[in-house]
Amino acid sequence: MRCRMARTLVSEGDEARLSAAVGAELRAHLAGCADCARLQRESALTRQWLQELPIREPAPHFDWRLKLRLSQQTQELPVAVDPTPRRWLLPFTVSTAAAAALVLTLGLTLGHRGPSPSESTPPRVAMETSPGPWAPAGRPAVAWPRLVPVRASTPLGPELRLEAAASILGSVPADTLPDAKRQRSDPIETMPVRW
Amino acid sequence: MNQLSARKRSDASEERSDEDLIQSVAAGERAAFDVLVQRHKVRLYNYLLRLLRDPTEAEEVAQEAFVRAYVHAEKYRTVARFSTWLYTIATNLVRNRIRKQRSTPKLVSISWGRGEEEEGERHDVDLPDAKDLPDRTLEKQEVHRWVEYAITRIPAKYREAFVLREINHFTYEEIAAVTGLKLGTVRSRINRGRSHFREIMEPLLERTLGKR
Repeated sequence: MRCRMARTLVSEGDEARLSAAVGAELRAHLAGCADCARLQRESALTRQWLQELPIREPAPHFDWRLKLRLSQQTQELPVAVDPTPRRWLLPFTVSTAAAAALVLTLGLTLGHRGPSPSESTPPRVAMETSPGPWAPAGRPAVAWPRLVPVRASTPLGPELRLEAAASILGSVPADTLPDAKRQRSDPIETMPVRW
Repeated sequence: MNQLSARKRSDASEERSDEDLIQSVAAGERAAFDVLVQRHKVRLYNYLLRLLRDPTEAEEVAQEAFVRAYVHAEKYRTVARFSTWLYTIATNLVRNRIRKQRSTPKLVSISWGRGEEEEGERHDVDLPDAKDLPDRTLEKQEVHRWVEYAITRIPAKYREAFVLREINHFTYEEIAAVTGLKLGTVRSRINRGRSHFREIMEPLLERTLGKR
């Protein structure tokens, strides 16, 4: 056996796996080669030192921290999102919007056709669902949008919304709209709730 | 009664193989993962400590490796041992970390004689010169310090394979799986790692075995 082969076998420390013949050959070489014999002793010693290295324990809170991270991780996992949109909502949304538009139109056209002879002042926005007090006699009362108080930060006041609606519909006389100045001075604005 | 049945369940879990446990984890059995953590945390931590040289970082990476193993448990395939898979995750995390450290601009520190050290690595071991050691049998603690130091001085690319082979006793095939290297490259890196290690340990070897 040559030194190169002997050094490889010694360095790998696989002597135990060697066949009987190769083992005998290696032993014979080591007996006659001081350098390879030295390498074998060094390898055996370094291997022993490596095996004797003390095992270091992780910090005592390792398990606790890991559990915490695992629970955080499992909470942060993306929730499976239903890829299909909620199609079943679509007909309801459309029909609700259509109904809302119809009621608003009717409310504006019929409810604001003009004050009754007994009333001298234009109607104010009603606060609750109620028959329009200004409905012409002989006609069924039209439900007016229910109005609730909201914070003053609402971008459009009810009168502006009504104005906008009126400008779109083009059927409501401007003088039948509520008094904008009076409404604006009110600290709490009102706006129609979607119905 | 409940305690008894819980203990029986726990004993049963501890007898199961790693591969069986990780498959249970994939099926949603969290307790199986606790057993895996208890089995592997110390050895994994020590492996990472030898690669990273910093206890805090080693613990951080060990935790991250366990978290990833848990989250991706369903990706585990039984073609490899669980430990091989876990160490692959951990080794990749270490490599990413070292790469990140190298790409991060560093402040220049004034120090002497450190030019030859690898970037992104630390050497804060203060060892006495072997020649200055008192003439007596080396204390075990001193040997341990030398060995730890020598491991840290092995270049990182040889150190992975060296530690996996010499300390964790992985087979060459397992090391190839963990490091993603070819078998021949693994063999060569281990041998180079051994040469570096012996070279650094030379003063101690001379003291123990006598001069060449």
